[in-house]
Amino acid sequence: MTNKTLQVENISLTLNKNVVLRDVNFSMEKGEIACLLGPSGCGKTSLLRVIAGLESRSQGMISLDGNQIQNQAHFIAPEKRNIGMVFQDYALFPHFDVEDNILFSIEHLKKEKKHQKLNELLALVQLEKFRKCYPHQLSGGQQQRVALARALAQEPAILLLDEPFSNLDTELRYQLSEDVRSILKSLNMTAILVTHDQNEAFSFADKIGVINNGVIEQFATSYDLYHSPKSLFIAQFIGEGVIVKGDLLKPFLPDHNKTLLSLVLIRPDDITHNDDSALKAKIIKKTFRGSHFLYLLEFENKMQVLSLVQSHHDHHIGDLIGVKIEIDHLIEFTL
Amino acid sequence: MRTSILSVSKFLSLIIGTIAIVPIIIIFTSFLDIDTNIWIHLKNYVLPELIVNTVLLILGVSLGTLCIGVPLAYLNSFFDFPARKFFTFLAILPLAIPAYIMAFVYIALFDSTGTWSIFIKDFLNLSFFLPSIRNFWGVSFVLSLCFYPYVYLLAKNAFENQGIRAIEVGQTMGLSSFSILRKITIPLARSWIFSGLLLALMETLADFGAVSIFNYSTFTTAIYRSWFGLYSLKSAEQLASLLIIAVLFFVILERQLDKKKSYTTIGRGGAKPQRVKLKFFGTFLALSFSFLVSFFSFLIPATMITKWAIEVFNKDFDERYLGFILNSIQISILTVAVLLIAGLIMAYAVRKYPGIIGAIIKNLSSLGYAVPGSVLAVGVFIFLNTIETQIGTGQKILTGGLVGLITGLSIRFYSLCLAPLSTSFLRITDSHFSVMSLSKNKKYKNFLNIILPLIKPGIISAALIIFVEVLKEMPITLMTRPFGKETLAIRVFEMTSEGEWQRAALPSLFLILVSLIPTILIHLQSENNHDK
Repeated sequence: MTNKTLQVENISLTLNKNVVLRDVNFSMEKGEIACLLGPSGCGKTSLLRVIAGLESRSQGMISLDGNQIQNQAHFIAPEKRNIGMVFQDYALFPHFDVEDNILFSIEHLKKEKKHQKLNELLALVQLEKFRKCYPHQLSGGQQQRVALARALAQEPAILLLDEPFSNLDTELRYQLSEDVRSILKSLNMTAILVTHDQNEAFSFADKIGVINNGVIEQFATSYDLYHSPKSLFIAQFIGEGVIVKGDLLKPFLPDHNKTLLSLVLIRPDDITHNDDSALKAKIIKKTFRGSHFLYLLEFENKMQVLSLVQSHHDHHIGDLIGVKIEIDHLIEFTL
Repeated sequence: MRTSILSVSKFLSLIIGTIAIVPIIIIFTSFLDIDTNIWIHLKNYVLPELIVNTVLLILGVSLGTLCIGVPLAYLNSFFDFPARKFFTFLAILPLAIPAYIMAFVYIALFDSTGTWSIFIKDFLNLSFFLPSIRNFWGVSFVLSLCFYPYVYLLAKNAFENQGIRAIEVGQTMGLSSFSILRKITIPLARSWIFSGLLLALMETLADFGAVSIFNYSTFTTAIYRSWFGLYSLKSAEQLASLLIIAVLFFVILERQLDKKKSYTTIGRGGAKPQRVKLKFFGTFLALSFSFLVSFFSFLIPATMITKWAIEVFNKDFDERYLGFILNSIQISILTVAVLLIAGLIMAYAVRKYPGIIGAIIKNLSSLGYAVPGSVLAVGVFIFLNTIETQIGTGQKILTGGLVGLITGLSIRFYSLCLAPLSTSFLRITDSHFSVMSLSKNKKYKNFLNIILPLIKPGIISAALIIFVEVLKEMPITLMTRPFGKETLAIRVFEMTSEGEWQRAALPSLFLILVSLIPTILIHLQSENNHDK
């Protein structure tokens, strides 16, 4: 018996000879919020559908709350898995008002219980005033909250969110993702969010699984993904930075004799600006980021790096500025 | 248990599909079993004329229905002019007039002894202004008047659902109204317009009543003549199988278009374009055009039918008519019920399991719509008769009662049921299905509470369209009805085949009146949709 809420083992999915998912493994604790992050078409939504039981052609084992909901021999139907899901298009029923949409999956409950639940959920998603509205009368954010309340109504063992914020405009998106996160945390709800937006993943999730070509390349906290990426893909996909050839970087390191692998990741925060430094680099490009400038710098040996510099250091393109290379630990990759 | 390969709905649709397709296959296979003598005769003496006539008719009706339907839809969707709503309403009324009624009205008017002819010849002395209409032009004209509403309704639907963005995009690019029409509005609606046209053409290919009144030889009349002993049963079947090949071509075209239809709304939100108020000259043109169309397609036939019906009312009307009406309604309602059940299962299966096999079953089983009724009747008869022989009770349990008739009618109008249902099933998204799959609700509750309400518009329009079509249907009813079961359409047939135009008008009037009810409801429904 395991105390994990969700355990996914060796899940593979092949559709029409295309490998969509390959040997996916990860597990989640109760109340943990995970994120599946990856470029479009990487298989993240498919993985979500496999967990929900909506995609029945997969191989491998999934257990939820200690019960195997899927293995080689058994396949529990989606309605028996006790899984809640929120969809990208919200999937609200257009002919139901907010109340009826939320009540959809708990119709079988007793009347008082149902209404108590409904009121709780409406309060939770702050839609008490809109209880009699129809979906088309609501804004995108409100519709999304109705969808969330509907999915939470049946008290699922796990909540799956399939790009739930991608139809919203940026400002609303971050606001709503914070709201949703605090709602889920307040309920100690285990949840998986699928997104292609890493900032959303960083702010929303406790752990992030980065998927590429149907494989989870790393399942870790956002800090670890950023600072200890396990693959070149993750190094490039997560955060900003440049990959430089080890030979180019070598002269700048204190230990000149250290053997370096062929490629090294340098983050913008590894390069600090210091006017007093003897080491100079030329500004090739600059991007204003409000509090900071992001400079693209080039050293004499043509090595290019990024550097985040406080924005009162406003230098011109072509200027030579003093920098320090402060790499805590080297993240190296082979080609 | 994993989702089974063969779900209940898939299994049932397989059975429905089989029932729908077997009678057609029976006819089709007669093509493989060629009687050389008959074939040589057909090839030398019959086919050339039939092919030329049919191709000409298709061209003529295409031109006619497009020239009437598209401009009318355009005017009604984008412009405002006095009495627009009234003309929008009048424009669909020809749906309530069967082609054979329209045909005999015009024959009765324009033939040398017709009312109009006498008026022109005797009073105005202008015989050069007396067009002969028992020819290609006359048939095309009459059939276009009957079938333009298909083009009109689908075009109007497309225009009204394009969304205002489509036009705004054009405006921001500095296009003139005419360029917007030419470059945006029409191309976006193209697949809808073409679908409407295909419906009209399938009706044309299947029409028997009107062309026979005009003595215009097409496949259907040739099949009918062959059937009744002029040539042979075999040659009728062989002609019919040729027709099915032509029809298959149209069906495939229609299905191809269907795939494109979902892309015709531009931008999100889909705000409806504001109707432009026409100025004096525009109003004049719009009113004249709308009036002329309704004048020929509805006012003339309706007035003449009413006039003649009144003239013969006292002599002809008695309690038999109550029987005709009740029989007609009974048969229509039974067919609607059978088709809604079959159509719901099929549309659900195809929506839920979009696969190549489902698509094939769906496409094949909706072939009946284009198969001439008389031929289909025989296919159904042979099919049911074979089953009866297999069971071997010696009793006509299937062919003796209403079963054969309802089966024939159901196969014939199956696609009319499937099209609106399939379309309305598109309102239920994949995520909707997922939400239902994930909920612990009973399956039947999801069906009653979610699926049924969402596809209700499709069900209503399917029911209404089928009701009207069955009322108007003639050959299948004629050939497979139980002995003595007289309907309004049968009465019309009996009177027109005796050339008793005026006496045919009385049942025709009833037919038109009953058909008007669902036609008006269709109109109200489409207006409602537009206002939403």
